[in-house]
Amino acid sequence: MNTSPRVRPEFAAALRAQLIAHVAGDRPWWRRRGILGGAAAVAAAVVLAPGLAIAVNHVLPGATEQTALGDPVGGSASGRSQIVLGRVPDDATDVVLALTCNTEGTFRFADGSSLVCGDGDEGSTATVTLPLDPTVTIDASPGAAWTAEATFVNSISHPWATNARGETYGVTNSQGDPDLISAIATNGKQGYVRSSDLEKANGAQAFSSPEEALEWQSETAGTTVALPVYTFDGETQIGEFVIER
Amino acid sequence: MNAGSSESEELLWAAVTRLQDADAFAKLFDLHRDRVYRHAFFHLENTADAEDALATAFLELWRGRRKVQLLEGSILPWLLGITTNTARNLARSRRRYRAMLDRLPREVDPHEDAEARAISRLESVRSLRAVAAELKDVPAQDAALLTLTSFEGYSTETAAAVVGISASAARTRLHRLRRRLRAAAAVETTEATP
Repeated sequence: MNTSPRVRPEFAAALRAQLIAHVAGDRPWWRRRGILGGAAAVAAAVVLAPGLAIAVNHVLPGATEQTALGDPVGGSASGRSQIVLGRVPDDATDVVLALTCNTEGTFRFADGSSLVCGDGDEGSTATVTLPLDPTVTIDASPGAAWTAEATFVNSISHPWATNARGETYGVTNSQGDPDLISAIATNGKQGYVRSSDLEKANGAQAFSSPEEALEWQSETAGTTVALPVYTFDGETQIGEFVIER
Repeated sequence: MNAGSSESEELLWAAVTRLQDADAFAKLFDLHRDRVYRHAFFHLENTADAEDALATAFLELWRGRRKVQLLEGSILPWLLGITTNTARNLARSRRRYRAMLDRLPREVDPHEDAEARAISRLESVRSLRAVAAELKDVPAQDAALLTLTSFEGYSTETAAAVVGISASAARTRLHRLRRRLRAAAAVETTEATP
């Protein structure tokens, strides 16, 4: 006899569909802030005070150089709210938003992107580049508290550079990964890890089946791997980049 | 437990964690949704709350997927541990996933609730009701240990792994907890006798 409480079929069906959408669409950018130079992290590093010129040799190839236009406009709220930036400067190309989550939650933006602030992330700041708009809407989950500053910026995207071996190097950006990705070695030196090494170490290579993925996972769980960090030539090793799996 | 399905469950979980395979996640939902719902209902005793706990448990499973351990070849023990915590902190869980929960269909027939409650009472021995009431006051780890062993039939070793303590520590805690709950059940039985 099976008379235990059972979940209502229509609820189960709706939840199942939502879980699929959630898993397929989840982009936890917040957790991707790291040592590897991602587009967002680099953008944060090069937003400058209004009018201040930037020395190009400080910008890594592939990075987006952004110059702030006007003063940032701040705001604080819980749940969905807006920051009104006002008149759009002529040379503005994007809006940069530095968002600090004060509590856990999901923060969605007008372009469909989102940030997830999870357990232990409270108080951390993520910087995102959003489409040009005089009003920035932060659609935070109910009760999710945040503090943010928005600024109009002028963005210039630099291409990746190419070394003597014909390999591209620089930071990961909307084009994907260059052959050599900017990384900070354990000894603090700035250099590059080979993108193919990183993929292999991360298990990001294409598995042909779940069986193969499982086998890889059981073999590597709990291991660490040290990848060589090179100068931009892709040959001179200057340190190591360690990955824990 | 579920020995026949364990191999495919390991594969499904690998597909979820390594390939972000949403269909594999949905299959795991199909496999375990009734057990999780029943577990949530045991703690919460009403359909709307148990449904929220069910949804939240799977969302939390996804959110914490890197920490999940397969035990006895299954994600179920871990999932039930999450469910216990979710049910105990339902207000907090709801806040995190409010937007998603609001999109799920709510057409609860009050008779259905009463019926489900009645069934749940019939199925469980009277002392389990007292256990559920008493569990609201015990630490979260202990509640998970007890429901996984007494209510879901898992070994102490498995339950210990879910809450992240040694099996011997779990045995000690369970011993103390059961002694306390036996006393509560005795009081309940006395009160219920006309």
